[in-house]
Amino acid sequence: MMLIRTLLKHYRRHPVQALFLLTGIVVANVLLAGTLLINAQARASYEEGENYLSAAPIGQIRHKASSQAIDERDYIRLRRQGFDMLAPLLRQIVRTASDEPLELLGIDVFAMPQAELSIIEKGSGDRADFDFVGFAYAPYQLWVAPARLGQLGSTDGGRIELASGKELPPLRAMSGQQLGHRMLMDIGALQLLTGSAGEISSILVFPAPAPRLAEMIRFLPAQLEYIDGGDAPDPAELTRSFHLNLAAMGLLAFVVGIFLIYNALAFSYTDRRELIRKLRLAGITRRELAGALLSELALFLVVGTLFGSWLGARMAAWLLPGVGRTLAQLYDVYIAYPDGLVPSGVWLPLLMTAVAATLCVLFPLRESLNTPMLERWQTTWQQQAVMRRDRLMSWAGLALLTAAGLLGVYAESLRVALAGMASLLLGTALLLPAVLRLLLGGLEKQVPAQRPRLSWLLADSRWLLGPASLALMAMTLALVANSGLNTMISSFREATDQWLDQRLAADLYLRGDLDVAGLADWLAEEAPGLTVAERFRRDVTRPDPSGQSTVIEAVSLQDGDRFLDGVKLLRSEQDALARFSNGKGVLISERAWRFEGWQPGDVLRLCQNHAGLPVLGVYHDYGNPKSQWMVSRHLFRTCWPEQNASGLSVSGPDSTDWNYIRAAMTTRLGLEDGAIIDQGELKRAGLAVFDRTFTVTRALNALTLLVAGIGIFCAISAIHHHRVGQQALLSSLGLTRRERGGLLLLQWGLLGLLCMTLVWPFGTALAGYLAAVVTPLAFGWSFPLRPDWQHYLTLAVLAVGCMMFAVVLPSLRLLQTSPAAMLREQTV
Amino acid sequence: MRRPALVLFFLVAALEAGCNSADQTFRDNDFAVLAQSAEGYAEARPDQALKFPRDHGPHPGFRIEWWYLTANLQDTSGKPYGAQWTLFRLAAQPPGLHEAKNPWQSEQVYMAHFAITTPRGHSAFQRYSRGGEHGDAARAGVNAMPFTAWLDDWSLQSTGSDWLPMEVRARQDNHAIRFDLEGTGPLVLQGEEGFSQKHPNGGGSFYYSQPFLQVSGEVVVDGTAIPVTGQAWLDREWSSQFLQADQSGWDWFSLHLETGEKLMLFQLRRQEGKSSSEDYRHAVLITSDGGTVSLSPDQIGLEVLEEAAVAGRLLPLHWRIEIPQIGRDLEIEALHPDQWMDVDFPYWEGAVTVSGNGPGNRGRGYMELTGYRAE
Repeated sequence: MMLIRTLLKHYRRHPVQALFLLTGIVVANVLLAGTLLINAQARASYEEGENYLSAAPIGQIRHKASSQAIDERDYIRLRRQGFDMLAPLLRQIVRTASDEPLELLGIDVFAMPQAELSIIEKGSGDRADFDFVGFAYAPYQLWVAPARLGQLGSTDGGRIELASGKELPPLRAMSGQQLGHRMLMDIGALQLLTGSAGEISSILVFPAPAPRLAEMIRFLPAQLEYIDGGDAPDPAELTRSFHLNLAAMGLLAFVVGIFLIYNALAFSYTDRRELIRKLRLAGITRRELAGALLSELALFLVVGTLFGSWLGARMAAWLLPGVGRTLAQLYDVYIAYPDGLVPSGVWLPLLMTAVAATLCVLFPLRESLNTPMLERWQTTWQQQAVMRRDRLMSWAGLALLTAAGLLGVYAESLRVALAGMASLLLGTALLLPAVLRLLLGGLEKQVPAQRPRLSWLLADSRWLLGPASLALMAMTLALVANSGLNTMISSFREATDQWLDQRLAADLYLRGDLDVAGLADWLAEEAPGLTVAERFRRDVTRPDPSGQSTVIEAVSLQDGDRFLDGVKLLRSEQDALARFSNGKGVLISERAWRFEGWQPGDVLRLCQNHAGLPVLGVYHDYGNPKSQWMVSRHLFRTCWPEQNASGLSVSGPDSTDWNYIRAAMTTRLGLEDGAIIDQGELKRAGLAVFDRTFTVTRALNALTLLVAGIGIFCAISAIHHHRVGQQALLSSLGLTRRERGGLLLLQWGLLGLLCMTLVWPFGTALAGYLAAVVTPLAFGWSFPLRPDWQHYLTLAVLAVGCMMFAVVLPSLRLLQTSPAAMLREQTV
Repeated sequence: MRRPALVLFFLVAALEAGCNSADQTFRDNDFAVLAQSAEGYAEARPDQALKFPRDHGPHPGFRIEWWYLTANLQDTSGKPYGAQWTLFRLAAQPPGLHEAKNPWQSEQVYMAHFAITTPRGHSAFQRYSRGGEHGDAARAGVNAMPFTAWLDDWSLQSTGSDWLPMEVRARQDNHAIRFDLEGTGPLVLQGEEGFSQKHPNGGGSFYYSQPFLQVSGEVVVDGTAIPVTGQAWLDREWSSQFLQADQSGWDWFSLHLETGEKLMLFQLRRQEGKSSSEDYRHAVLITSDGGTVSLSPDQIGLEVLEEAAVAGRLLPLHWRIEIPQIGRDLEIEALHPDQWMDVDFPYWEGAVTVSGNGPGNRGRGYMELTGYRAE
């Protein structure tokens, strides 16, 4: 105990070092714990299953033509038969004035089986929180999870305006309802709001005795079917890639944190060599010393992990609504936003940090304990040892980069792809010291002999690589990750933008089952030159090439070259588009190709009449969580003549006055305003969804960068603490404070810029890796890479700025100290 | 008068105050909710004569209404059973306040209860629905002619074009009732020609009864059908405002006497400390030909003989009723204590036996106890 106290006294004299060590541990933990918590939370939500007002249905009744609504009279008739385990559900997605899609669920509180009671019991229990009349009658209420309310930037009682100009009912924050990303309101009000009178999306089936359930299923009208909750796709399975990606980001931050821990430990042990030597002279054994130092580390680990986990939990709570939004938009999967996070222990982060920190400590610990007892402590960062280390790291780096290349080419699972990505990142970081040494050496040769200061600066920078390389590696790692992700997102966005341009070939889109002949006749008279096309869509279940049953979304392509030209194929058979429009084959989405395994040339069974159609090509289908087959309109109609159109599209020459047409159609067809949407709006909404989908990725990305900033700040501060002698020397040589300050800034600025020489190529390589390997494996979407050069510039400024800031603060003290005092301090 | 406060309390509490337990509402709200303004609703007045079959149907302009059936039954071996079937209607908002643009927006809300009492046990069930008609389909509603009252598959309806005979059907899980109801006497208008005064200032409700109903059919308990016969009592009442704000609950009796007479009696209990006045009582003796003898509060003696602990409350399940003017002295005792209606808003409603000297003091019937606080 005495021993530990003696050792800890060091931190009392150098509290900043303790702070840096703690920071490293916290940084390693915070994102790791946060992402683990988010994933645990989502998993808990998936396990809990669907949930409406605390009542969990065991299944649903749907229309056999999946996209079609159920006539609410069918539901009423079932209830009249006494099947009181049934409750209607209307699901509609509306768009706010700011293009945010909102999922609204319409329910009938009077039909929920005994759920009214549980609302109060499980909710806040406050009577004021439940109000039947308020919920079911004008002006109605829109129930939202408090976290979602915050995300929408609204308040309790506030109202949201829709793109259609209508207003949603007043918002009501409801905690404890497992609402998550969805919003709950009265079914009648939702029908009115969305112009879907008489329609319900599905009938929820709540628990009932088995014979009663069987009786109900027998009683179903021919067009309806019961789908057991167990047969629905498992959301955990659907979203696995997403959660894996999230965990990978947490791990990345963990690695950055570990670099910082190593850095802090190395400094703290180096500083205490003298003390350790004295203690050993006093008769304390190496074993005792090692035990004491490890106990000290354990203390830091516990404190740092606890704090890091707490911060991680705060971060998780903050990010969860964003994650919920991403899951909703990417997968149509909804998670709850709990009032408190699921208790998911700190054990995993603690264990990981402990193991990593123990590995980190081994090298500096051995070095300090092995210092010969009777020798005076020598200059720490011996060039030879450092160069040996750098060489070793370069080889390791090269090996990792080679592994990354191989994994990238041969990866078949997301896990392997992520391992490849990790190798790429680590390999880059490990190469850094050798590359910097090489670059500095090259620069030194260019410096003319009459510039001694510059020569000194470069030589000293090279020396600095010893103590600073780990911090620089951590920063480079974070910068490469940041630029890679950023390039990936901006490339993906641009690809989506172009893809929307191509695919949204029509000018106006109409939702719902409309009388196409009537509309065409009217248009022929009112606005000749416009064409109307029906759009069809239905889900079909087919075995994939491996024999596994898969739900496929079958869609029709509208007739006309305009639409055909909008389909860009990334793989195709000969004359694919011509054969496609003649109904001689099927095009499949990239997801169907990558995930389900259909290949161009394969023959598949579309429907009974068309049991052997070839796959003609593969097209991009960004943002769709389902695999898709596309067929010509004619082919779709012959396959499923009973399927109603899911909507219409209207297109015409550029000179058309679309505002007029739109207004005329609204009046003529008695359409709700929200039922018509034009190309521009649709595209804007699509991109808005895209941007919101990546909000969390961007937030995590920014956090990683922040972490790197903190890391570099800690590291440089620590190094400067050891540079007192250098400054004293320069001062004795007659350099003014200003000159010394300039040199310092120049030196670190140079190092920052040189780091960027690695960030540029490897950041781009990482983005390419994400675009070509990780995203296709995770989501089934690939896209071309478009480097965002401007972002690199921003990063360079940020990196240099960050270093400058880190240099200036500790340097101020150095610069203000008199040379004599500095020299004295050096000898203490 | 029949359980207006209960119903008002049920529905208004359910709709406006939220779904808390009855006791919670009693404690917090007392009967304040019943003193609510009836603005926007029709008002029950003595000068409006009842007309049939029209008045068998719903009166949507009034805030609240019910069709309430209780039956005292026995199986083939003579063991006693009981059954209750009730449909409540409540206007959640005054009609016409908001235009209903689709059937979901109907302001008419229905709540149904059904319960079976066996010699040993009791089961109670509830359902809710809105009243709107979706084309030709509605989950709940009432038609006057031919008479039908229903919520899902729970129904009470005339079997022909006349009001009687009727049949009642309800099923939940493996419990059910299926009865045919034959009329054995006339319809009885309560109060003054069907206007039942509830306030000294003249407010009240429309109220009539069909106490002469012969039952045959079956109850299904835990999947076993048991043939039963017996007597039933149907009450109809509607109004927009019923009660004083200082009452805490009531005790109500509908009794079939062996003489063929019927006795209806209730007392409204004043809240402790709220008023110095007596509990309010009323009784009516219905002769076997449908004639009525009204009895004023001071003519009615009501005494609790024994209390029993049920569902955490102390309930008076054993009574003595003395009405010397008509020579009655009866003891009322619950068939068994466990006839607790464990629904969203719980109360005690169950079969009772009537004992005393001579057939005029013997029989059976139904008793309702509300507003007793949990201990």
